[in-house]
Amino acid sequence: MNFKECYKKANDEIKGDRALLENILNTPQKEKAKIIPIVYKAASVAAAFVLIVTIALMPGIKEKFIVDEEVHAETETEEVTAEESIELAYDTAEAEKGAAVFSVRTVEGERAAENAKEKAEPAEASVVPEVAVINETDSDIVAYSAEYDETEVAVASEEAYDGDVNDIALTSEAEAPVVAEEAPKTEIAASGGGGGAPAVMKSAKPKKSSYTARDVLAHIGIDYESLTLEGMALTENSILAEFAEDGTISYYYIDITLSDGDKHMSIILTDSATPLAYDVSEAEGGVIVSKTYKSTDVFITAQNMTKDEVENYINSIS
Amino acid sequence: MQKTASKDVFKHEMTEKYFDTVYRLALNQMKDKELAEDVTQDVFLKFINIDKDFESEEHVKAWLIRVTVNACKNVFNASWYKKSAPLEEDIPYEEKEVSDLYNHVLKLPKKYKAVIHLFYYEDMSITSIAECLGEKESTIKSQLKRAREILKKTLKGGCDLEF
Repeated sequence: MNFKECYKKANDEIKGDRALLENILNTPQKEKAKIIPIVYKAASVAAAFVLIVTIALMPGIKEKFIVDEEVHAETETEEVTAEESIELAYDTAEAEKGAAVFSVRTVEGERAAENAKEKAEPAEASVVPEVAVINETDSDIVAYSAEYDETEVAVASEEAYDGDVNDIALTSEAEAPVVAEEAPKTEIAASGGGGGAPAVMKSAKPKKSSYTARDVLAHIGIDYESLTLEGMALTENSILAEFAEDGTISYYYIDITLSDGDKHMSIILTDSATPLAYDVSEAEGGVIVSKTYKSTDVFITAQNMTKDEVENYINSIS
Repeated sequence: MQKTASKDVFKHEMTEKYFDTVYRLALNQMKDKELAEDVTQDVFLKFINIDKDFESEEHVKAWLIRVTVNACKNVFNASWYKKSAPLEEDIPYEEKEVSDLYNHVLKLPKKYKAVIHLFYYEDMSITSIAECLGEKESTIKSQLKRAREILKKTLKGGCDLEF
C-alpha cells in the first residue's frame, strides 16, 4: 500500500457527528434586513451625484470644457474664415509655444482669436493638476509586499520548487531556481505575502491585491486610519473578501502587521459568527488581545509592547 | 421566493455533501474532535447565511475549504487557545500502519498538513490548493516536498512510502 492509499483509508473512516449535521441543517437562516440594500443603493446614487456636482463646479474644469458664450456668439456671426482662424488660434495656444498659425485672418477674426487664446491660457493654468492616485502609504505597502513576497520564497529551508511534484527524491539537493509567479485570478480577491525578515531574492515581483484593506474596511464600517499607529509601518499580508450581488460584503479576512523594527503587532480582522468576549492576556513575552467590534472579530498578537499599549490600540479601533 | 427556496435546497444539499470534507480538514488542522466540530459548525453556519451565488459545486467546495482553513487560524490566534491548547489526541485505527501514518501526518506543521490533506485525500491540483490557501504555486510545491521529506524520515519502517 502506498502513502496515498494509506492516507485515504485513514480519512475515509473519519465521519463527522450526524447530530451536528442535523443541528446545522435545522438552523434557520438569518433574515437580512431588506432595507439595507435599498439604503446602500440610495447612498451610492447620492454619493455619485455629489461627486459629479463637485467636479462640475471645480474652477478650471468649467472654463476648459464648457463653451464660452461670448466667443461662441462671436464665431456664429463671423465669416467662415474668421471661424477657422479662431480654431487655429486655439490650437496654437494648445500646441507648443512658438508654433506658427498659417491662415488668412480678418480683423474681427484676429480679435476673436486673441480672446480665444486668452481663454485657453488661463484655462490651462487653472486646470487642477492630477493628484497622484497612489499615496505614500500605498507605495509603502507595495514596497513592503515586495519584500515580504521575496521573503515568502526565501524562508529557511523552504526554497520555491518549480519542478514536477512527483519527481522528488529524499536526498536531492538540486533545487529548481526560484520563479516568481503571478497568483491566478479568482472571484475571491486575495493578496499573498508573509511576514518575516527583509528581502533576499531580487527575482520576485511586487503584487497588489484587487481589494486593499482600506476597501474592505470601508465596507464593514471600520476606519482604516484607526488601525495605523504613528511610527509603525503597516503591512497588508493577506486580504480576502467576498461580496454578494447586492454589493454587501459577505465574508472577509484581513491579516495586517504593524512594526517599527522592535515592536511588532499582528492583527487579524474577520467577520464574526459568534461575538467574542473581550480578552487580554500576557504570555511568552507577548500580549494577546481579542474582541468583537461591529460584527468583526479582532485578534491581536503583540511582541515587545506593553499590555496597556495593545489594549489602547484595540480599543481605539473605530 | 422560488429562487430563495431553491437556494436553500442547494445549500442543504451542499452541507450534507461536504460535511465530512470540512470536518476531516478541520480535524487535520485542530487535532481535536471538539474543536474540529466547533469549526465545522462555524463554517457551515456562515455558508448557510451567506448571500452569495455559487457558480458550481467545485466553487462551493473551494469556498468551504478556504473558510475552514481561516476558521482554524482564528482558533489558533484566540488567546484562550494560546493559554491552554487542548490535548492533542491520536486517532485510533484497527490497522497500526494506517494509525501510525495518519497520526504522523497530524504532527506535521499546520501548513504542511493542509497541503498533504488537500493533495492526497481531496485530490486537488497544486493550482487549486494555491488558490484555496492564498499562496503561490511554487510555495505549495515546496511545502509538499518538505512535508514528504519529513514523513519519509518519521515513518521509516512503516507504511511503504511510495508517493
